[in-house]
Amino acid sequence: MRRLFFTILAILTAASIFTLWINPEVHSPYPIVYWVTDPNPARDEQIALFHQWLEDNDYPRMTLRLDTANHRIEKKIIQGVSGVAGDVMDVPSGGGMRYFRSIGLLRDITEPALQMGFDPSQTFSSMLPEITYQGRQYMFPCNVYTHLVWVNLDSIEEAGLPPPPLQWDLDTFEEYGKRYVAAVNPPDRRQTRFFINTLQTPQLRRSLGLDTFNETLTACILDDPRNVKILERIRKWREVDRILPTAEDEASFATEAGYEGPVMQLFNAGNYAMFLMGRYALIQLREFGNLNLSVSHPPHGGYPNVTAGTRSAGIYTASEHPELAYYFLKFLASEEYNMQIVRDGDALPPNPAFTRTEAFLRPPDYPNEWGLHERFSEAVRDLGIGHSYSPYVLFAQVMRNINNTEAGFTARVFTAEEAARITAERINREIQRTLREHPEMREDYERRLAIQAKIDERRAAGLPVPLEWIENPFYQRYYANMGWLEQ
Amino acid sequence: MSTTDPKPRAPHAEEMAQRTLRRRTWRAYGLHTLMVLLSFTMVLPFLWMFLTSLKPLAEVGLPDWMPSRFIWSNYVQVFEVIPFARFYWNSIFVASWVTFLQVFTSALAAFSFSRLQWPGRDKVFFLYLGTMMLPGIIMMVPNYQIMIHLGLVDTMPGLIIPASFSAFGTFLLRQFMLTIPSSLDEAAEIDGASKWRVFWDIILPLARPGLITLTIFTFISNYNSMFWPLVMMRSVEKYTLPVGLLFFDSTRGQSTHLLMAAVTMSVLPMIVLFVLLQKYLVKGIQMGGVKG
Repeated sequence: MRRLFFTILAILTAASIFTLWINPEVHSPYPIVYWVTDPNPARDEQIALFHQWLEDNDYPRMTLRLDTANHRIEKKIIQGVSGVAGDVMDVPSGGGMRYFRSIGLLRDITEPALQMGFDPSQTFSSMLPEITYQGRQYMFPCNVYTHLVWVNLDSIEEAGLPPPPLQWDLDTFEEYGKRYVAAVNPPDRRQTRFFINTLQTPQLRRSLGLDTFNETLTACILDDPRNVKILERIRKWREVDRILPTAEDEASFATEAGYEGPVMQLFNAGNYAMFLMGRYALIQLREFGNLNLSVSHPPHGGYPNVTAGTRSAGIYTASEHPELAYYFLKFLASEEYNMQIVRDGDALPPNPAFTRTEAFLRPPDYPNEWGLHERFSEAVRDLGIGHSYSPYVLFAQVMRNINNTEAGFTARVFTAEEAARITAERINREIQRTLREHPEMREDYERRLAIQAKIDERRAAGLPVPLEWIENPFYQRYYANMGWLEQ
Repeated sequence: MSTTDPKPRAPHAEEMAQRTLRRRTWRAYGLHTLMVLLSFTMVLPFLWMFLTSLKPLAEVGLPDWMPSRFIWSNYVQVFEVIPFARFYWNSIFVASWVTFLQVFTSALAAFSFSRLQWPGRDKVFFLYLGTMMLPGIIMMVPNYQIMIHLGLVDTMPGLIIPASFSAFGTFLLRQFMLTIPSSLDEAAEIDGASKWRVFWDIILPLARPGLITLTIFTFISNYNSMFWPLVMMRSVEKYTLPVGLLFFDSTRGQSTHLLMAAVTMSVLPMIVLFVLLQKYLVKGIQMGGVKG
């Protein structure tokens, strides 16, 4: 026993020396700045570009290193509250930004952004609610995305249908879908081919003029016949028309469930004629060869719009080198970084100026993509609206409630009316809870309630309202487009 | 010639015996068939993993399990995309150190709780066991804070030291040591052996099955450990396998074919360990009433 013990100890000691030899301590002549992001091969290229950009512009030198923690928000929180998180933090949305800000992890970057040139004017205007909170900036986009419909033209042609239009209303979409599934699925076998993988209910609701929150973001208004209409329409498309797969259909396909699942493989194999995703789908689609592709907008109920989102970067409150980390955000607005996003196909570059370059519009290696890229940039520019975030409820809670009740509706636990009502009730209960726990927020809430009452009164009388009364980014755009704003 | 034939059995009894034998044989066949079928359900995920590791990306996740062509180069690509060998080494290194230290410290504690008499021993033992009732995530922030103060964040000792002490291991070995007759230590002490000698030369050799069981449990759980290494480690070159495998699932999409190739290679030590030491594993499950 003794011999065994000391033999193992000796082997492990030797292994430790070997490990120390292959893992030397990190030494750098420059300060080390950590970037908390996802484990992604493109990050190495971006870091190399950043170091070169610093050198070329004679900016302060630093060593940027990765901390690949995006998968688990717990790591960011544990490190953040312990005071040792990375200097630059990837945040997946404006909802994430609000959460991280609320627990004190994100630094207000408004002034340095203006001084160094990475303020909101350097990105798409629809990004404003995503990167700012109550007029203060906390992030700058790493990329910008919207989910459009990728079309496999070979599948559509196989069904004897013409290419789908860029924009289509709900009825046209349904008609197309019914004709497609009837043409490609043999009548006597289980259906394995569908028109599209999924659609997003918030975007469909917005196309009927209904957002999750009211104009002043003080209440959830999903208890509305328009929400009921969308829920029932989706169910019809899944269960009656069979143009979307049911959960069972998806489960019979999917043998793995990673990031976005095997949607693109099923698209490539012809099981889905179309799928909903951002321009970043190109990263994988390019590996499948030269597909015959087109891009359309999601169907709309009369008000075409798309939801624009972002993966952004902010600066950690307790960063040891905030003044250096700001340079990384400045780099995100630079030509070097934006052109890397253009080449890589990782959604849209943060700066819209680079969506007008030849490299973006007509990538020389991918002629089959010509004419598709601008559909994403134009959609974000012309129709893109950020998410609506109520200051009184966390975005994650909102989405959890919406998803739960929609799942309950799908499983026939609720009727569409009940799902709509319960969603609104649950979210509004959260709002009231926040106000009870944070009485300091009540004054602003009451002010907004008074404005909301005035908006409702004016709308009931058919009168226009001033833009400054409206806090919800969707209704700011919607009211403007409908001519409901005071001149 | 007279014959002394044994008394012939009643034809009825013989037929009954044969029928019983036949029934038992058929039952055994049936049972084994059922067990083979059930074991097949355990093998299927591994089969899917292996076949997927040989597919091109475009075929991953499709209903057809068989690849249209077998792409063995996926295995080579794993080493090109990530520092897989380094992650592999780090995992084995950390799991080996933790196993060594945890078995040793648990054996010492178990000896104390099972063979030594001291005031409040059982109370302390139950208090120690109580730590098993706390969900790991609750201890995460305090443990992390301690590691910061000790300067062990982003270091291998930061992964090894906190995992070197285990209430479960102590419990498992204590239960085992309680089955060893106390007359053995008494005899040794009469012969002049010290407590340390009793532990080292009498109890430890006799507790060998328990030590092997704990070795297996500890090695497997630390080899597969994901969250603590993820939180503790910042430098990519110090990642262990479960953390390193996340490289195949990023915002660039999931490279499931490479992920499965990497996982196939990473489960090999576990499969070898299980095949070699499965009887100890089963014994441990029976003894500790745990699933491992």
